[in-house]
Amino acid sequence: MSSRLRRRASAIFGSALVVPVAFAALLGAERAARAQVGAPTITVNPLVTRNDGNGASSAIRPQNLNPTGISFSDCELDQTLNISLSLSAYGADGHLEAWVGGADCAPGTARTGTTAVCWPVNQHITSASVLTVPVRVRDIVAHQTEPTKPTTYTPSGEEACHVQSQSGPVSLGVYFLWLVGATPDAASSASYPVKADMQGPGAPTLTSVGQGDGLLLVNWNSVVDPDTSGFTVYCDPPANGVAPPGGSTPVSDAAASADGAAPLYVCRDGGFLDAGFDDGGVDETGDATPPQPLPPIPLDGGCTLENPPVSPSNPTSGSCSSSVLVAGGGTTTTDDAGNTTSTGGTQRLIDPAYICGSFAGNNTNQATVTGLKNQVNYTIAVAGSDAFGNAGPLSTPMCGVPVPVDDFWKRYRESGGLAGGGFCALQAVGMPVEASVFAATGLFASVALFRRRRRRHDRRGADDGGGS
Amino acid sequence: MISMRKFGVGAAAVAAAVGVFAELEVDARAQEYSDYATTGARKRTFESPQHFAFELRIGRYTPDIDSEPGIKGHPYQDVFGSMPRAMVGMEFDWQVLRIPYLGTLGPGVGVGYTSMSDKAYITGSSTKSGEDTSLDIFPMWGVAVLRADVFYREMHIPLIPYAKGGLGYALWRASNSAGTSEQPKEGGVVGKGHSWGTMFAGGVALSLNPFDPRAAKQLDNATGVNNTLLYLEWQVLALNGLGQSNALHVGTSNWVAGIAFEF
Repeated sequence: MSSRLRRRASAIFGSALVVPVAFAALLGAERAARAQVGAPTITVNPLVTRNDGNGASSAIRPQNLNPTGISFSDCELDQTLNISLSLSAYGADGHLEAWVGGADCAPGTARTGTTAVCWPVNQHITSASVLTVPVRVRDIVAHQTEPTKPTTYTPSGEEACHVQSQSGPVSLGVYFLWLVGATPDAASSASYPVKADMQGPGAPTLTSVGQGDGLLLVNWNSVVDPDTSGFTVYCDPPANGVAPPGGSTPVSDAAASADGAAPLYVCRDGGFLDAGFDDGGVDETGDATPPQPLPPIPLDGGCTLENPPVSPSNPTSGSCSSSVLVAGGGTTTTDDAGNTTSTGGTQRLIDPAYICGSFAGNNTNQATVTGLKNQVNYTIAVAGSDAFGNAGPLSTPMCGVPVPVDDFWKRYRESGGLAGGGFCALQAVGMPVEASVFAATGLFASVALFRRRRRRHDRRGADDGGGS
Repeated sequence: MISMRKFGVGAAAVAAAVGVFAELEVDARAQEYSDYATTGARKRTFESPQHFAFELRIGRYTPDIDSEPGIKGHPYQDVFGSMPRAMVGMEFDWQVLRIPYLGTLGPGVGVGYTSMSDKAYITGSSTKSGEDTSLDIFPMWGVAVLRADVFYREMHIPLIPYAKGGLGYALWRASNSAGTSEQPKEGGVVGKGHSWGTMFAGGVALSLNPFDPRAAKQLDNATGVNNTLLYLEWQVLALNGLGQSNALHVGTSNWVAGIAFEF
């Protein structure tokens, strides 16, 4: 009996042990199988989207501004790159981290110790076969100039946007590393290349601001900087008359009195013109209003009736100031050949509303800024711009007051001249005038030359006929 | 429409003149060869046929705008001053007809360009602004050209007096730093238009061939250029609105000099 019981008990417990043993065997086999898979494959999708610091989607950088680039503006806006990855054949014994550096971050020596050239930008990535890794622009650029790189991730602040002191791009890579256990070298890696250029060209020197009718002619000395691709001219108040919220510069509706003699409404409540001006102003929401009679009292309580900033008889006497357009400083040197070089200086992110003209060409040194209002005292400054869209430190601002002018045509018409109105005679043909002129001359010459050739041909034919 | 009609009439006149000259040309050439045979003039055997002339020219230009009837004051001089501007141009002549013991006669067309620019005055002030004000003029002409090369051909005096006469025409544009000028007080009359007129000119050309006959011969053999000339011409371009009710008087009377090639 006892032996029967023992046999039955043995059978029962023996069967029960089969399950965990089998499970353990399967688990071991799976682990063995995983161990045999080796390093996972990481693939980076080259299409990277961007969000700004508020999470709003940012436009993909335009092709002409280096689509994979990081500019000062991108950094100031605290953009985040959303980099898509696909991960295959990965195991639970490893994890994914994102590092940035100017060289391959896969070797352990590139991330630790005195030879480190990389720094972490995201160390808490949940593994998945398809995933999107957010990487902040400020984290990417923060430690590029530090001799000792950090080994643990700490979010970087706005100061990261000022680490580059020289203009020109710096090549970096965002490396996605599969790290297993304490092994320093990454089991596998993939990278997304980026170029960071957050320092615009040195500040040009503004030399003069000439007056024109609704325009200003801005002249500056170009700076010798291979990074320069153009120049940006800033106006305060903005050319469209609407300062962004918080703008401290008063915006006067000078067009309300074209001759500049009558008082003007000046609004100091953030720079917004109010609805109701006779030239069609814009209200706080930016809505344009049709021309209306000038109201006895501006609708906006922040506007007051003031004298024009500059009288037309002495248009250059006005002074100007701007809390937005502040000289960036820097060191300017001129070599024996007269080439001016400007280095250093503080660049600021200026609201695009203050841009009143962008002009391509690294040798450009003058521009005509149009769309301005006569008798308004504008503060003008210029900055060089580069291929990344960076605007460098601002030049020392100058003042400019557009004024009505008498060009030749105005004087001719006001002297009693009656000509003008267009090239209707030739434009009706449907060709540009200059083309018509040269086409007519060319036609005449062609007819003449054709006749000359035909005559030669006829003469040669006659000679041949005579000889045969 | 009026302007179109005038332009069409002008074009038709030029075309008719070209046609007449073309018909005359064949007879003229036959006569030319015949002259050589009958008069016994020394035929320069190295010379290739000569039918055309091409001129490059440069001259002074001061448009007669201030002489326009009804103009008060001197708007042109006030803005651009009294200093003449330079005009560059070119002319292509077809020497259709050779008149024995005189020279060649044929139609020609020419085009030039001149521009004047200065700083505009601030309104109500004698101070100049930073804004440019400019006037661009494209004068053109279609003329009959008589070149009396008999002195050169028959007497070996390398001077060729000539005369031109015909129609003139100009396109012009007044502009400022913002583009083509407009006069907003008058509904935005744009500062561009055209002016018709007449063109007469007389001058004398100096043939350079006698100074280096060998080079002249080589040039003829290589390019077909028979004659290289320097010339000085008095040009009366009276673009005062021939038949137009309102035209900017952009014509001028001035000396013109240049180099010409007959081929």
